[in-house]
Amino acid sequence: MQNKKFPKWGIALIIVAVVAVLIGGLFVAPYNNMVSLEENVSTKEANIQSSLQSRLDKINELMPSVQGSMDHESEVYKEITALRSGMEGVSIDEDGNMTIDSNASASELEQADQASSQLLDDIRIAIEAYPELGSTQLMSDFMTSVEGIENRLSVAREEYNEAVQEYNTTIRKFPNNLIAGMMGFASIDPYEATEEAQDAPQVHFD
Amino acid sequence: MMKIQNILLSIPLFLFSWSTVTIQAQESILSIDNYINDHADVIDDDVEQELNEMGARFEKETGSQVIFNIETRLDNPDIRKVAYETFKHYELGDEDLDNGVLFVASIEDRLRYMEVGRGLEGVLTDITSQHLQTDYLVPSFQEENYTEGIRSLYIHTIKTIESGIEEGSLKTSENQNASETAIDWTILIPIGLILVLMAFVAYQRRIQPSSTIILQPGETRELRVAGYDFSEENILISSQDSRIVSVEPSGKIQAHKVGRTKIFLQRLESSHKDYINVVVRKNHASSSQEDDPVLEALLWGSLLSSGRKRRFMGGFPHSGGWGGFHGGGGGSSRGGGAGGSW
Repeated sequence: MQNKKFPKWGIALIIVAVVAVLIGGLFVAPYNNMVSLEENVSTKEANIQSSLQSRLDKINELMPSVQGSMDHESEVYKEITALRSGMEGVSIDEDGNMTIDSNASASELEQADQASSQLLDDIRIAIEAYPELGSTQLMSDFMTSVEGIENRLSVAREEYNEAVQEYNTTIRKFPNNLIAGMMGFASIDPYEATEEAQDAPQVHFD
Repeated sequence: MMKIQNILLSIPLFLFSWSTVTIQAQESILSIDNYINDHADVIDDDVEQELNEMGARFEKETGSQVIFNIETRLDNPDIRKVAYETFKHYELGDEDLDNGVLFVASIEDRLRYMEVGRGLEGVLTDITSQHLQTDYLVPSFQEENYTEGIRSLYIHTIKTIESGIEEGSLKTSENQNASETAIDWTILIPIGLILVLMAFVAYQRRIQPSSTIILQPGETRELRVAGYDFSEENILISSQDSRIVSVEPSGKIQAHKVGRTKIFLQRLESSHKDYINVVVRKNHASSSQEDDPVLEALLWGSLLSSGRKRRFMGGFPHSGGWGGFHGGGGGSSRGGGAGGSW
């Protein structure tokens, strides 16, 4: 009987096709998912950055009058000067305006966040101590806009951490962890909680 | 055969489950079922109704949702968080225009906060929204005249948004339409699948949730829907537009005028909602074609092509909210707005 064997190259072709489908199903989709989640984290980081920049803009706007009317020997003034010059990831131009570096890392943003928060508190203290810095109406508008900036910033932080959590959870799941290892997806640290967030009430399940 | 049918039927259920919302931070999320949500019961009913109608009209004209919540007290003392989480949960405002506003007042806590959608931040800046509150709400609230405070703030908030539209700094629903014609085709694939399955299922039973019935103006009908027994008291039934079709808890519905609307159904113990499309039209030869799958498919097609995606996230009208607010439009906020005390 004529033995019409299935050609070897045919079998090889089938194996290649099966492997291709497996790679497609097991590799491409999770890989793409990880890419978009990582991209989402970057977007949220940019949101933090722009919220931080609006905080710095507010400080920039207030700085000339604060500096002009304050006692340069006061503790608060010294602290303001030190905080401004010591901020990482932030550059100061000739006019004294602070700008966040476009390639600032998340940890640099965290530090700039804490330093500028302290700076803003000092400015608030200064304005309250030097009534000539602003009328009551201006003061209340200042407070309103600062609160708005802070609120947006806290929303941006929260959304960033949600995105980071989703990304981290995804790359740790099987089989994503294998692909993540191969393609160099590393876990991302969440944005460090601010003091106020750490003060949040604890929930006990007694 | 039975098995295949079961699998087919489970596909839409599976697809629908994607859209279910995880319940999170429940204590921070207030319930919204109309434009004015007076949970503290401090607003006069006629003013409440007037403002609800104004809100509905304003949404129809501009796509902007201006929602006020008046609470007795808040479970979560952080009113910003409450406003933000509630706004986020209901996705207030139009999906593309992000033009929602949520004002929250807590009477016993003496707290107020206005959360402004991204798209309105230019016209309702933090300082503007603060001034609106201090000018129009605070004086009346200090005298415990809550009705006047809310009424004045609501009207002026809407006026401020309108002025932004007139000055061209905001997009209205109309000049947004051009970009809305772009359809996300990937969404249509599961919808198409569901459509085919629904046509199939329509042959199997009488009225199925999500199907369409046709009535003539003045006609009344006892609703019989698979899975809902109206003799039990745990069924919530409401009409999206009670001017077109009104409903009774017994499941009796009455058509009033020509139009198209939806009837929502929900069991009290369940968070799942169903709806039935209702078309009211004149001189229809016979209303017996109510389950005609071809007609249904056509209607679905027209609904899909004419409407923006609506989200029925908890926007279920409860008592007194017939035909009012029916869920957020997919908008978002990023923590913009202002608040304080009085």
